[in-house]
Amino acid sequence: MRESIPLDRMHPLFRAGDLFRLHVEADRVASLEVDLGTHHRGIEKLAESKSWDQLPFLLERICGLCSVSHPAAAVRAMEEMGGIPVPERAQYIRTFVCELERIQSHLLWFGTMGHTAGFDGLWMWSWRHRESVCGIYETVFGNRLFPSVILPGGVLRDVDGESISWILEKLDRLRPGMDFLEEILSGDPIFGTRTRGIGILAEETVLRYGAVGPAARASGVAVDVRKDDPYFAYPWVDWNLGLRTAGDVHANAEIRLFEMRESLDIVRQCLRQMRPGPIRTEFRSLPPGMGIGRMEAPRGELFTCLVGDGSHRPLRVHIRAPSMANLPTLEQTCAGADLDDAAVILAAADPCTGCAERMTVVEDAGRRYGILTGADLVRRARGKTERLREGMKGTRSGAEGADENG
Amino acid sequence: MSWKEIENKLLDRFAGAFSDWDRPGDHRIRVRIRPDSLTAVARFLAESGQARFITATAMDTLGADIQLWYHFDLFQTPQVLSVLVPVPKSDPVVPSIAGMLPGADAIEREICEMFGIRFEGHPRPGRLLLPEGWPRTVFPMRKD
Repeated sequence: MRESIPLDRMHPLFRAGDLFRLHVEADRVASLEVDLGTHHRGIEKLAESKSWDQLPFLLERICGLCSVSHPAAAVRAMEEMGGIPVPERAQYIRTFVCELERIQSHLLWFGTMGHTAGFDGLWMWSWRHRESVCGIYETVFGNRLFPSVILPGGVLRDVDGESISWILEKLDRLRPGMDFLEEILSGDPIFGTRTRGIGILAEETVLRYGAVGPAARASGVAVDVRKDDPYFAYPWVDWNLGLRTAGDVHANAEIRLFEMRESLDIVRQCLRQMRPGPIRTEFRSLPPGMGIGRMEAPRGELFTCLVGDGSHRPLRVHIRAPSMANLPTLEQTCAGADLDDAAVILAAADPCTGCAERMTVVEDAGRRYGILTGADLVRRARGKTERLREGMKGTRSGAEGADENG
Repeated sequence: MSWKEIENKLLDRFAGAFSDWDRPGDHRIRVRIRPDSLTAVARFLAESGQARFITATAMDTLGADIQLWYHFDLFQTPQVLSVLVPVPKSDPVVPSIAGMLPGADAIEREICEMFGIRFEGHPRPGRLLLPEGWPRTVFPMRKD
């Protein structure tokens, strides 16, 4: 007999409180509902009580992974409102911190997706390399996850020559990590089987739903704020936009690996091109009006709209995070998927791991499954990979046996 | 179709619906629109294949209206078109665009519960962020 343990969505075990409700028929996902709200913290309302220069520090706390993008989008909006010039050195520092954020976020994606699909080596190694990036944050800016470096008009801290050499050396050590990921992506047949043709997001769906970021680029839609609406130091460095067309989990992995390599290159260029100079323009107040700040966060376009009335604090702060644009597409990518692949598809959509921990499966008829938790679904996904491994071992030993006999 | 062509077509087709066409910067266009033309303009932008709905921003500036801005991005350009629909607090109803643009589904539900604007024709009206027991007539982001 299966027992269900009711775990409230605010349970401390869970890192985020989204709930996915999957309706299943004959081992296939028939439909999916996303239920948001548990994690709602009223930050937009709270932000109305902060002064303009306090705002980036609050918005930084929205997400531990996009802790650079949120304040960056807000300061872009403030700088648009006030026409505040930003010194060149500050733009380079902002750019390289943004790209470090992309690397650590994508490495986290490889970890959560790998763990969910039963590739624990991929999970541990990618998170080990992610720690190197968090180490750069900590050593240079004093915090593993919240560098608190981007402020309206510039940056809070400068980066000295010694730190630049140290960061460059640390980045070189990330190269083997990228090669390791490349090896798995192109050389591991089981990884290929578990990710190719799974969770396909069609180009037409991307356009209809307005999906953004690596998910859109893996489906052939070239949307990237860094190219479309260039900001910070992006116009001064050379980099390429990655594009794939398959739209499946494998294409999502390929695009993220490609982007991390480009990000490493952008960071190196920024650190080498930076010239000594001021790092911040002081400003006293912002005029009344509306400002829009757009950023290419690791998961896609982050959109922040600020409105001020000329006072020292905002009248309205509105944030559209990329996950809000991408999550609705899960209705399409999960529909018709094998239940054993569901956890992989949800993990690959790049919500927080906590989301995967919060899945509930409801069977429409017959109650064959009872209620499954997220952990049950992950177990099923890992079980499928194990069965593939066992099958491959069997084939190999059979082939070896045949050789010996021959 | 370039952004300029879309802008010209919009002005040709919906000339009477627009007012206060403003360019606050090189990359921003802001325009006020009559609520009854909103669906037609959103459909035109979606069907052009060149524009993407980003989000909608509601704000209570302590006037008689709630300002409702719809933001659209044109692919591969830096332009953002922000369309303003003023919604009177006395009768806060606007047509929903979530049926044709699924990306607007969640934000319309959020604005509905936070500002009390009713989106007529929404395919899945209901709570998004607030708990089930929250009073139906209290809107947390309203300032009045």
